[in-house]
Amino acid sequence: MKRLPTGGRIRRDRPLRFTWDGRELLGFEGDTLASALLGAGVDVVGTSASFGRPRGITSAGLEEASGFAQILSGGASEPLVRMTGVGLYEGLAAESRIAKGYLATDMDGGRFDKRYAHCDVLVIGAGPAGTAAALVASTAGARVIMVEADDEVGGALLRDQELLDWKDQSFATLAAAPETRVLTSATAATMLDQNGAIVAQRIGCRVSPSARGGLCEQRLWHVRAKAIVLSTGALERPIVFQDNDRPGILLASGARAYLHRWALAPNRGLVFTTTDDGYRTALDWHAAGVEVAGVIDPRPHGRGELPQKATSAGIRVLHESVVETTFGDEAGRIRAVRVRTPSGAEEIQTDLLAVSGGFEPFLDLHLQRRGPTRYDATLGAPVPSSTLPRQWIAGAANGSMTLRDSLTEGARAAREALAAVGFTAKDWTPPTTAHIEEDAPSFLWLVPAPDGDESRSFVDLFRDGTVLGVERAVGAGIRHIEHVKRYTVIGTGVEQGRSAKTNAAALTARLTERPLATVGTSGSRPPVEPLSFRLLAGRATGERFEPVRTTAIHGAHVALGAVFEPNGQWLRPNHYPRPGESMEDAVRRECRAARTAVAVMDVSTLGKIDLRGPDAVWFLEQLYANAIGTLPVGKARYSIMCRLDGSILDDGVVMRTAEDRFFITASTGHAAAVVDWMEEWLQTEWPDRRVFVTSLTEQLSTVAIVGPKSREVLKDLAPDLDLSKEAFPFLAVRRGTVAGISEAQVARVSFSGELAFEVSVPWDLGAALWSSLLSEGEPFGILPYGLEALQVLRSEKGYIIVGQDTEGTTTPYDAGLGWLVSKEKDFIGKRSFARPALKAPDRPQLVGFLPEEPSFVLPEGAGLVSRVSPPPMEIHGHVTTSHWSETLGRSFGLAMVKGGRARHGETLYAPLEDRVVPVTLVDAVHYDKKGERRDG
Amino acid sequence: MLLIACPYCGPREESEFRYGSEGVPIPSEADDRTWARFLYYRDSPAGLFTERWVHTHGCRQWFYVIRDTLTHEISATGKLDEAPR
Repeated sequence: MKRLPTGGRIRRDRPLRFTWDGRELLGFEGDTLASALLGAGVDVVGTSASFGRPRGITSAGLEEASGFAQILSGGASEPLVRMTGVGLYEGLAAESRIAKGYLATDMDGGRFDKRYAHCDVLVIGAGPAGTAAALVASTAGARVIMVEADDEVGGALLRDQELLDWKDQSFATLAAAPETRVLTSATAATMLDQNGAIVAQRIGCRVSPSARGGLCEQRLWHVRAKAIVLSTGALERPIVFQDNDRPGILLASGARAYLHRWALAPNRGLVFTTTDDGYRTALDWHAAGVEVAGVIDPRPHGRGELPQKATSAGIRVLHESVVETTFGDEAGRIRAVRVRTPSGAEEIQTDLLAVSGGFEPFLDLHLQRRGPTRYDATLGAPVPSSTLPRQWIAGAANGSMTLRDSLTEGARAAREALAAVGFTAKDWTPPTTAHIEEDAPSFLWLVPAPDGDESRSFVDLFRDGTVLGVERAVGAGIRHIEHVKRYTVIGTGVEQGRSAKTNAAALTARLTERPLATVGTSGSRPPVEPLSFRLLAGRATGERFEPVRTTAIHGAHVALGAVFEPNGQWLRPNHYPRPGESMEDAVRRECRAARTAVAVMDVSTLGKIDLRGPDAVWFLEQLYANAIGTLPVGKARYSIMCRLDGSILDDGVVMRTAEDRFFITASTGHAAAVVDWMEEWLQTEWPDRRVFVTSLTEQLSTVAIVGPKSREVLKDLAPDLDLSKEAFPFLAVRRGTVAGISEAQVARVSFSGELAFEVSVPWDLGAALWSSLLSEGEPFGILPYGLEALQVLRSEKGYIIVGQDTEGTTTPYDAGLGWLVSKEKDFIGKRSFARPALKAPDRPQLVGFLPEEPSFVLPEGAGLVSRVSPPPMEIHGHVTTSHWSETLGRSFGLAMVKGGRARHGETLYAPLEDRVVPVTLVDAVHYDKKGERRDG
Repeated sequence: MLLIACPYCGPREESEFRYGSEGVPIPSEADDRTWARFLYYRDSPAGLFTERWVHTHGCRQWFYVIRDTLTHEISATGKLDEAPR
């Protein structure tokens, strides 16, 4: 094609530079990438995925079957972008990649944004029907959002040069309406339940980088509409014939759009049409002074107004004729076609073959939500048979192919939508249109290859799906259209075979000797066009991916050089390495301090819950598997809660702070879930019980002071508390002044097995408490310790971590906590313990293990077998926790092993990739079995 | 994404809520088989379904929703003590 010296809707005074495969080219404002390339003389835009055949642009819109590119500019490299759908801008850079793009590796480039919007009426498609609908809805005062995938509004009006003044006036009216928003370059990609729509809009990437300012490159809209008008128009179908994939073969409506919108025309155009509409292309070329080689029409006569006009204009029309094959030049571009006429065959020279196989509604958005369709015999394609709730379909999308019908249907849809959402439409008169009487189209679908070779007759250009492929599918016994799709891959490209589906169905119908109406077409899936991951991520990348929570003591951890580890959303110290120290050495040092002197840990992330009310005791008795009512005020108890099926939900410490008040801790990862669990029971089962649950997690900073010297460190900091063994025994809870902070809560609880105190103070005072403890403890060799040391210390004692040593089916009995379970009372989960499955002797049970090789630390998750053989081996259990123990001077761990408690002393094997590690099963408590250190 | 009308807060995006199934009454007396069915079996009707949701990232209140499982259309929501039996 070549650019005509005048005409089109491009701004010739605004040339734009862009690059294609590294070549710098020139286009104009108003161009798409497709039109800019055609205007620059690039008509081969890539090679096909499977056969490597040269391919060109096939359309000017959504029907595009081969013009897809990798866009390198615009914030992030984006694959498989439809070239007819991306507006040209200064600096656009693109690469030829028809069916195989690649993902961006740099997530930081560009700005991608999201917006949520609500409206009364969402109009999708700004052609004649949509424009009428938006006008009617907007003038009634409704909140209207209109989205248009094209850079310019108008739809078919632009290519058919109709009602352009009316269109301009209408959009001026819409622009002035305060509650109406028109989004261009905005593709309604996905339809959601309840009239939700996801719309992908190219914004800043349409503007040259220098003029872009703060605009984001692309924006994802989540629109929720009370009513939706689908005015998505129609798609033109190609016709299948041999070598129909050459660059220079376009849909007839697309060829017309290139003429009128972008002033692009061939040297000698030829039309192959089964519809009267195809004649418009020949007539418009003719009127623009372009040589027209003729119109090939399989129908016997041209009775309609347009064929009559073509004949009077002197355009050569060949009836009862078809294009049966094409010929290319050295680059594969179309050079000539062979036409089969009633009198024989004729070769006609052309550089652009415009093809029209008929129009069919574009129904992807309707089909995404399984909107019903029926086969329409006059269109040879599916049309909507009814709409989804609070949706209306108008114009060509509804199968109404004339301009007049589109306008009246659009207005009617808006009136009905308005009535449904509580607005009254004002009177509206559609603009006058000239009615052109069109003759019925014929349904040709396919021209048989003259030499019988159907391997070059393309049904799906994107996927290189051919007539031969469909023949093979049907020959293999496949009949269902969805199976044909998968066997042939026709319709599985990113464009979902939009221009291939109906032809594939028609061919299948013919080959299986069924009416097309009974074959149907394959479905449509969201999104209509690919959405980049970068757009879906929006601003939620990098540090904005997820909120990060830090404790009030975080600054001190940073100053101490802590290495952090995410724990849910919390950032917690894993260990505190000294300069040049390895992680292993740091952890050993921290463990030694806790076992032999004193160490502190920031445990502020623990879930902390205040629970109170007259029914607090009753409620906690239901919730926990162990007794609560017997707990005296000022005492704490390790407690465990189960789900109804008897599995462990969480563990924690319940402290009774008054007769009707409790302070409860939950594990860091389950804190929110435990509060939710309590609320669920209170609200859904026992709404009459008077219990209040309040999360205190972010209200209190808590520090654990651990080790044989912990009492001495605390003694001077809390002079009014008697910390002696007799006055403040294990599991006692007291309040007093600690480090000058009054009303601190001090609890003698221990997750390390050492003498330990947990001190809770108001959140903001956590850092002060921490620094007081560190300076007071200095003479005793106090050290801070992190999660890794905590893991070692707690597993040496056989203390479980719920979710690490247990999984969703582990009961308290499996975890060795049966001693805790109350026999006296009923509680959530108790009934399940009587089920035979939960009493089976071969259930996985918590055990300890010692690797035979004391220096080898097994990987957590390793499987344990009793006999090593070629796979498959019977798995007896798996390692849940595995560490080096500084205290034991060897490696050790915890495991869940079938019937494990009765198997202490037995040797099992962990078959790893490169070795087999024998382990001896032992009691889960590896250290201080009597708990004398803890109670001391 | 559904728009769910919390009876306490008004219509909100589905992402603010957590699903809570249909809320089967806990049997007070049950043999093993009945108990196991209560624990592990749920109806999955095609059509109208009364279920519980909680406004996790809002008021944290539980409420009922009548949803069509075929279309996801929500025909009613309300406070638990006003739920249809």
